[in-house]
Amino acid sequence: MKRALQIYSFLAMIVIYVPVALMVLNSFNENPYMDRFSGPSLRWFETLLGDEEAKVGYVNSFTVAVVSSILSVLLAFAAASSLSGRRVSLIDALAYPPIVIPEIAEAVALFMFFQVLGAELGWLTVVIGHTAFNVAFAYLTLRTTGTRFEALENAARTLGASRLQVFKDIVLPLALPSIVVAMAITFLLSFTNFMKTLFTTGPGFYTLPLLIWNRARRPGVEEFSYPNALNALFTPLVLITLSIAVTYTLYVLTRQKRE
Amino acid sequence: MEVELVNIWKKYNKVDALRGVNLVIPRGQITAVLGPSGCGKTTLLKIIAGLVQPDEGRVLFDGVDYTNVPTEKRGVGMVFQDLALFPHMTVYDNVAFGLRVKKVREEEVRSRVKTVLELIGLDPSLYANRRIDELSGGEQQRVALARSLVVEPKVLLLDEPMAHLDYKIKQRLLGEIRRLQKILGITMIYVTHDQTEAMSMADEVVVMSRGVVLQHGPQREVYEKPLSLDVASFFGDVNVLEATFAGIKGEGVVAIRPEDIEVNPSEELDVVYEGTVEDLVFQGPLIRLDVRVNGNSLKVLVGRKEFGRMGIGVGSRIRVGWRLEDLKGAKGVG
Repeated sequence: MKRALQIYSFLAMIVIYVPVALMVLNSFNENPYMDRFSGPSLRWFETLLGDEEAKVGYVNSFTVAVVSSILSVLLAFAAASSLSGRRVSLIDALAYPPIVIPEIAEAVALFMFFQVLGAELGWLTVVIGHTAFNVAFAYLTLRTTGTRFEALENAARTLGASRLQVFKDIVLPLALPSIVVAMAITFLLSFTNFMKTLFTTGPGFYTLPLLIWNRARRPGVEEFSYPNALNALFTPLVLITLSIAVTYTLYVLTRQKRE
Repeated sequence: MEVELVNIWKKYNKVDALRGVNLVIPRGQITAVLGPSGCGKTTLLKIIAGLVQPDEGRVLFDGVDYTNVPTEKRGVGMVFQDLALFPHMTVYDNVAFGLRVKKVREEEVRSRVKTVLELIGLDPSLYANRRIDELSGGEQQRVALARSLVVEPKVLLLDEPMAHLDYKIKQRLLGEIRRLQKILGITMIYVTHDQTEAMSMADEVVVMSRGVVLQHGPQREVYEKPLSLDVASFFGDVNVLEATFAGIKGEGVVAIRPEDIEVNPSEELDVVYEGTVEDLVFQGPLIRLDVRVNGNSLKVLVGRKEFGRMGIGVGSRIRVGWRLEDLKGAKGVG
């Protein structure tokens, strides 16, 4: 039974990682199509270096993800702190739907919301749209690990620490691991988001996933829209997400070891 | 510092935790607050520390009203039930915390932390850089004490800090807390539900039940002259007896402590009964006899040597007796 499970896990890993590995590998393929490997080349990365559109896509995705993760973690931290101690609150109940509702419904809801407001669609609406849902993920992450340490806060206050000192010396260092996790999760959700970005962006503002989709629709029309050029565009994205995931795992492992 | 509580009331979710507590806790002594779980004793400590605001009433330190002074400005130290040591700091940083938030110079911090660790029996060179989770329960207890003592509080509150310790370590630490208290002359308020803890360290005892103070006085006085049966049974052990009172109409209950009952008394006592030994329980220095008298079971404590001379066992017929003046709780009979 154990053996069977091991084989099963191994197969699952292959299914998950082989396509990704093929994409990374093909980004170094001289041939523009993925049908055969004609030799190693940095051709597509050279194209990428001169590709202003791709740079803009990367920068936009990155700024949206950074701003949205900071905003959502700040909001979620405030909510989690103020609601500590109570059991399941209304906010808890409201935090789950964004995770289970189909993303297309969220995206359309956001789109209509901005329409009603008459808002000009662009980077601000994208950031707001991402944050509105990231808050839920950040809140649940912070809520489970905790942002209040009542006994420790009380102890610090009897030792003469002001509320600010308690926050700086006790709450923040102890909540830091969960803050880091919440930031990583919301950053990744935002950085790779496609559907919500598509519905909330306006003319002239695009993120990396939107750019990839746009080019994938018309392969080979230009140098940068060949499949393997797209793979090269995609490779740094994989490296960024993978390195965040690996860093996080190592961080958790070393903490477990210490405990 | 003298701590005075004036008519303190506190409700949690419409349930009264404290109902009009008036108490003067003398300076420079250890006062044990004793009572069953849920009697309001921890709430009382938190009100003194300023961690909980009373609904009504005032908290006075040496006659000055501190009711609305925030915790961090009260100068009240507290050792918590779960110790609440900072898990992300070393022993040194835990102890230094209270000095650093007051911006004490780092050299002075170093010397004061060193002094207090030595005082508490932890070698600074061995323990200063240890992590909290590397310490035993007893060592953590010492760090918690050191951390609260280093800031020289005017009064130290201890909230059942020994609850999770082995008997032996507990006894040793209780002795050491008492020794420290005598050296430092600090006022201590020690909350516990364990009467042996209260007996082994307190100068004064406050017995609480359901949010009110039942009795407050020197330890021996509370033990020997309890004002009610509740006090007699919270602080010490008693046999509760049904009694008919000569002179006054009616029946009621009185209590006698197991050690006040004499076995096969040689002299004339006020009350003597015949009974049968049902069971013997060895409690180390003392032996408890369960004696059946007129359908009631009486607990009787005798010394081990005395017991040896009696030559009795389970099933023996014996006489038990006591003096009327040793009966407790006659005043509290309702």
